[in-house]
Amino acid sequence: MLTRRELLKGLAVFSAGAALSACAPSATETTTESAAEGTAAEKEAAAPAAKEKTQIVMWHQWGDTFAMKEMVEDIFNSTIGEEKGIEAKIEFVAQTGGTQASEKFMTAIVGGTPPDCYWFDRFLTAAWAGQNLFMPLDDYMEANAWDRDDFIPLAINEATLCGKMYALAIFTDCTQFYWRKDHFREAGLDPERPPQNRDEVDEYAEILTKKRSDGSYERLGLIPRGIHYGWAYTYLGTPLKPLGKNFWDFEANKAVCDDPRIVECVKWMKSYADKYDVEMVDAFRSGFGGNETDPFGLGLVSMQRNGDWMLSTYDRYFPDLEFGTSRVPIPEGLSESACGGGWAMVIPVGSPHPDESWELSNYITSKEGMEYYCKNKKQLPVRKSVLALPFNVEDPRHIPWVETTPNLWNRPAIPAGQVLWTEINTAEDQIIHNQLSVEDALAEVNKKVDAAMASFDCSMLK
Amino acid sequence: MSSTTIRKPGISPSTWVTLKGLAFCSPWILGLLLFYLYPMLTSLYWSFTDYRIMNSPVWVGTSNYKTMLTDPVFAKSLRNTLEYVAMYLPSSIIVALGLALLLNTNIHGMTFYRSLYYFPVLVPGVASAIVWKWVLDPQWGIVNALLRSLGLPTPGWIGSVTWAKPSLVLIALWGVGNSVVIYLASLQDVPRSLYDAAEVDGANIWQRVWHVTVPMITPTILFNMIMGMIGAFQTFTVPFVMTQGTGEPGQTLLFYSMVLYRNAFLYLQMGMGSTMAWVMLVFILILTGIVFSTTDRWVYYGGA
Repeated sequence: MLTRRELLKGLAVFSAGAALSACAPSATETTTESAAEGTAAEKEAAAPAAKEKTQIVMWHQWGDTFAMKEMVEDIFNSTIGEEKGIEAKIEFVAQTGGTQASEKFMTAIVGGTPPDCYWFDRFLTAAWAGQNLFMPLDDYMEANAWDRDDFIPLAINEATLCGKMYALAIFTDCTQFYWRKDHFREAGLDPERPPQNRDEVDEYAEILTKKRSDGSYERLGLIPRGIHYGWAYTYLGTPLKPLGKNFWDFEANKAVCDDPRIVECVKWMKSYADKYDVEMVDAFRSGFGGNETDPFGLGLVSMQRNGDWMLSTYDRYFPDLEFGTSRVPIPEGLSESACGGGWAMVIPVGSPHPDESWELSNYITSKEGMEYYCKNKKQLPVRKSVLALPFNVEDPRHIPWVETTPNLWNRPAIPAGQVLWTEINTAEDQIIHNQLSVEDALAEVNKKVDAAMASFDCSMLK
Repeated sequence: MSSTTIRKPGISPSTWVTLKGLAFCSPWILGLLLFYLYPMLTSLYWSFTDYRIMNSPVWVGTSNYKTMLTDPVFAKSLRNTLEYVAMYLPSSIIVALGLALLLNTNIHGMTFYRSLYYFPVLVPGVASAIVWKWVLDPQWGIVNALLRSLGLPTPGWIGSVTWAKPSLVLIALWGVGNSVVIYLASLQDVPRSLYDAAEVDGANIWQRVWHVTVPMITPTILFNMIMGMIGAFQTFTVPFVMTQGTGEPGQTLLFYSMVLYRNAFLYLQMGMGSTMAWVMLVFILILTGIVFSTTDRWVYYGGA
C-alpha cells in the first residue's frame, strides 16, 4: 500500500520524466540535423569544389503551403539556388485576427531580427513601407532590367509609395458572383441564368430566402457585406486614371470615402440589413466558417460574391456542388470593375541577405515561377504574359475572374491603408446595426484616415 | 564609555548591514527598475509623442490625449468596458461567494467539487474563447440546441447586439474559481462562536450568512472587488479572439484594450498606444481610490 509520501515522490519523478521527454524532440531534431549534416558533409567531401550555400528564410502565414513550398524549397533551390549558392526555406508564422499581417513580423523588423523575405498581404505594402519597415527594390529592379511592362497596373500601383517600389506581386484575386443552380431550380428560377442586374439580384434574393416559423433563417438569398474589398469598387465604375479617386484622392490628398457612388452602394447594402432582420442575419452568419463549413457549400446562402480561390475549396469539400459563376451583376448604366487583392514578396529593412532574397523574390514572380504557382493553385497571375496562357481558362468557371484581372482596382496604396481598412469595416458594422447613418459613418472614416495621413510626408521614407 | 571611541575606517556597521541587505535584494530591485519602472516611464514619455516605431519619437505634447477625448471610437470602447465591468463585478462577487459558501459544507467528496470548480481557471484564454464561441453560437451551438429542444427562447448570444456582453460575463463567471478559493480561505477564519451565538438568538441560515459571514469576510470581498475590477478593465483575450479584433456585432464587443492594441500594433502608432495605456492606468487608480474611500463604511477589519 503506497503511503502519501511515496505517492507524491512517484508523481514528482513521473512529471520530471514527462518534462524531460517533452524536451526530447529537440534532441531527436539535433540528431536528424547532425545526420543530415553528416550526409551533407559526405557530399561536400565527395565534391570538394561545392560552395557553401547562403541560407535564407522566407516567412509566410499560410497553413496550406501547397505549391509555395515546392516552388521555393524544391524548384528554386535546385535551379537558381544551385547556380547562385542560395538555399531557401519557408517558415510559418501565425497571422493575427482582423488583418492578414503579422505582428510577429513587425516586432522582428523593429527588433533587428527580421527574416530574409516575407510573403506579404500586398494591400498593406504602403502602410508598412510608410513606416520604413521594407527595403525599396528600385535599385535591384534597375540592375536586373526588371520587366515592369509585363505586369498589370494593379501590381505596380499597389506596391508603390512615393515613387518607390516595395513589393513584387505574386498573384492577385478578386471577387465575382457565385450562384447555386439547385436552389434556383427549386425556387422556379432558370438555373443557367444568373441575375443580370442589381434589381434582379434583389428580386432573386427575396425568392430564395427561406425563413422558419420562429423567425430564424434557414437560407438567405444574398448577404452583401464587405464594402471596401467587395461591392463598392464594383459600383465605382471603370477608373478614369491609374490612381483615380476611389476612397482616397491622390491629387487633393484627402479621403473621399463619402463619394456619392460609395454612399449609394452602402445604402443598397444597408437595405438588405433593414429588410432581413439584422439580428437574425447576425445569428445566422455567426456560424459561418471556411472549408467544410463554408455557407455557400452548405446551402445556407444561395448567391454570394467570393474569390476564385473558393473554386478549389468547393472541388475539395463539396465535389457534387451545383453552382455557376459569372461577372457580378451591376446597376444599369455602370461598367464594372472589381477590387484586386493578393500577395507579394517583400524584403524587410535589416534583412540578413537582401541580395539573395531578391533572387528568390524575382524567381517567384518571374514568368516561370508565376506560371507554376498560378497553375497549381488556380490563382490569377499578375503578369500579362502569364495571364494570356491557356491554363487560366481551362476551367470555364474561372473565366469571370480572368476577364476582370487586367482592369482590377487596388485599395489605395497609402500609409494609412490599415486604418482605412479597419475603419471602413467598423463603419459597415455600425451602419448595418443602425448605430450611425451612412453619411456620418463614412465621414468618420474620412476624418480618421485624414488624421492618420496628416503626419505622413514622403520625406519620412529612408 | 570613553570620549575617544575607536572608529573603524570606512563604513559604519549599521551602514554595512544596510548595504548587505540591499545587495541581497538587488536582483529584485534591478528587475523592478529594468522591467517595470523603465518601461513605464518610457511609455509615459512616448504618450506625449508621435512614435511610429522605425522613426524616432516626435514630441507632440498633449495632442494624443486631446485626440483620445474627441474620438468616438475611444468613447465607445470606454463605454463598452464600463458596461462590462458594471455587469461583471457584482455577478462575480455574488457567484463566487455563493459557490464558496456551498463548497464550505462538509459533504462527501468536497475536495473533488472544489477542484472541479477551480479547473476552468487553468484553461488558456484563447482556447476557452474558441470553444465558448461555438458553445454559444446562435445557430449551431449546444446551448441554443438545448434551449430549442426544451421549447425555450434562444437568445442570439455573441451574434446579438443585446446578448454579446452578457455572454462575455457568463464566460468570465465560468472562470471564477480563483475568487472562490480566496473566499473559501477567509470563510475558515470566521469564528464558530459567532455562528453558535447567532443560532442561539434564533437566526436562520440566510440571516446567519448575511449578518455573520458576510461582515466577517468583507476584507476579502474588498480584495476580490479590486482585483476583479482591475482584471475586468483589462479584458482582452476573449473578445479579441471571438471577434477577430473587430468588436462586432455593432461594436458592442469593442473593448478599450482592443482599441489600444489596434492603435499600437495594427496602426503602428506606439505614441497613441502609450497614451491609452496611461489613461487606463489613471482611470483604474481613481476608481480604486474611490472604492478604498468607501471602505470605512462597510469593511470590518476585526478579524478572528
